[in-house]
Amino acid sequence: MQNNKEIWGSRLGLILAMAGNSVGLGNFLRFPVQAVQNGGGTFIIPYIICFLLMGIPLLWIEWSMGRFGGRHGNHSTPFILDTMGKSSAWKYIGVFGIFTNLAVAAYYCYIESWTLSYAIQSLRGVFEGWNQNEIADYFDNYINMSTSFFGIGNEAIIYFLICVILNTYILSKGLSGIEKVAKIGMPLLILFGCFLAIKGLTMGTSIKSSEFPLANAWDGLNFLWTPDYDSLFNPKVWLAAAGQIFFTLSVGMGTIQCYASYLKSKDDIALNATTAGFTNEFVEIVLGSLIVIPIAAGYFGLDWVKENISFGMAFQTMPYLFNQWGEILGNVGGVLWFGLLFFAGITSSLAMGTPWIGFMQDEFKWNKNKSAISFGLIVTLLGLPCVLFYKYGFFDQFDYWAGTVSLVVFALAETILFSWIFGMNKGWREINKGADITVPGIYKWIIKYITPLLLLMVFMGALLTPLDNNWMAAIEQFWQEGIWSFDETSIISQLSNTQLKESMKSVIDKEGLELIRSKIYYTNLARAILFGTFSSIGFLVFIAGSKRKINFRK
Amino acid sequence: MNTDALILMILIQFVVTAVMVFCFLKVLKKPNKK
Repeated sequence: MQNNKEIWGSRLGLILAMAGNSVGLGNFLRFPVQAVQNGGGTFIIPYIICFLLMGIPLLWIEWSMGRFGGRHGNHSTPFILDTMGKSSAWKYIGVFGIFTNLAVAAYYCYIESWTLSYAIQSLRGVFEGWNQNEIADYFDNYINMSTSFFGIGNEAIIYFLICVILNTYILSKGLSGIEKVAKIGMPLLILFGCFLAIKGLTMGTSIKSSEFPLANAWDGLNFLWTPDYDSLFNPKVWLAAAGQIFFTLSVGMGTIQCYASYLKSKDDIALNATTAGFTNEFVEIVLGSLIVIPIAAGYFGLDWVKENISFGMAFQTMPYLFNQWGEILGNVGGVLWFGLLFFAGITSSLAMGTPWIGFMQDEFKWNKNKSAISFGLIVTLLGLPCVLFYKYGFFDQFDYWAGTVSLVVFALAETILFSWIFGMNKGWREINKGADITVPGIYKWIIKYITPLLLLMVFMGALLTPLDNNWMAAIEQFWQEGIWSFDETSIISQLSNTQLKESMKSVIDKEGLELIRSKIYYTNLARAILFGTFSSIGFLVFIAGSKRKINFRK
Repeated sequence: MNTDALILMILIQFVVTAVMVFCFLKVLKKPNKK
């Protein structure tokens, strides 16, 4: 347990690393999509309320848990939870805090590798003069691995491996390596983001085309920020806002606890966590809202944006939009855009490596190099199927079960542990110990009642998502007919592969049928691998627990 | 851009930026205390 005595080099480094952990691709890609799909300006108000009632409290909870665990020599969630809970079962719930990171890192490094590849291609001017279809096709060929890199195999695999090796190398340097990357990456990310945001703000109608004569960047901003107070009564908007806050802050992953476990017992938590949280919000609300939507609306018009906005737009559309800025500025735009996504990605993927490394160092006395290399190997093993079987939905399964469901389950469990089992009085003392700001007393009540309630709401929302996400209609139907129609995105429908089975009924050609059968096969395979990964970590936790008991008796 | 949208955008973006800057200034007053 005492093998791991690292500490953070500086307070600024710690905050930037924590902010880097939270700031990810979702700040630039998920936030605008969620905002557009949930009524634009209406979305922002519940989003801010959820940040104050769920986001900030969760940050304080996780930072406190981490520092508390670190004081007892624990740097990963299984034994941090074990120290706080009264039952030994908590250490198995803590498995989520390692499992999620390994599984998410596997596909996250893959997306990170796209950004690295696209940044290099933009720098080389590869996309110059390409039309929209050529750029979209390039992305399809890239993920379907029909392109090669200097004739030595598939570009997607090579860039993925480069990213894994880079992450492994930095992680092997310990906290100092992570701090260095955060100190370089975060300011650059903000600088690149500011440049693109200023372009988004000042573009107006300057790049409208004859095909889209009504295009105007301001329409995008108008839509995003015009409040529509009626939609505040729509549960769908609230669920989406709570979900976005949850994912943007990277809570429920175990990374914050791990980073905070390297703090000293009298170090501040309240101010540090608030600073990291607001830095993430700055990147999301200020920069994230001023790039994709206005730039796309400035060329295609708002109607196109509403219909087509998606995660893939970052790669399939943005390079084309940058081309409209002219030859040099277009390439610069591409490098800055994919560069900022890369920095957002790598600061998050590095954080995902630390819980596993902390666990192996604490429990099995592995050194930094060995732990980091083992992380790289696991990520490669889990990530390669995501790369190879992307088109069969393998990647999506990892994203759904590890990157979505597990986070909510774990956050709900840790909040209950912190405020109800560890006890709110002790928890409140932990939050305020060494604090450089006065935490408002009302938060004691919010953390105990409101935050768990909001998390439960997010979880139930995901479990029971009604058809077309229309809660009003579903509640009415349930009230009148006693029937609840599940949407294909709900956990219940996902478990039974409803969507794939439905599409099987409508497909008549042999090829289409074969594709769906393959999708079902790879979907189940991905789930089996995820279950196997979770069980294996659970087994390691069991061994570590037994070793601790033996050492305690000695 | 319509007035309501402009006010909401400026207000929220200003508040978020101001809180972040305020927090960083407070942190930088005690840079060595983690």
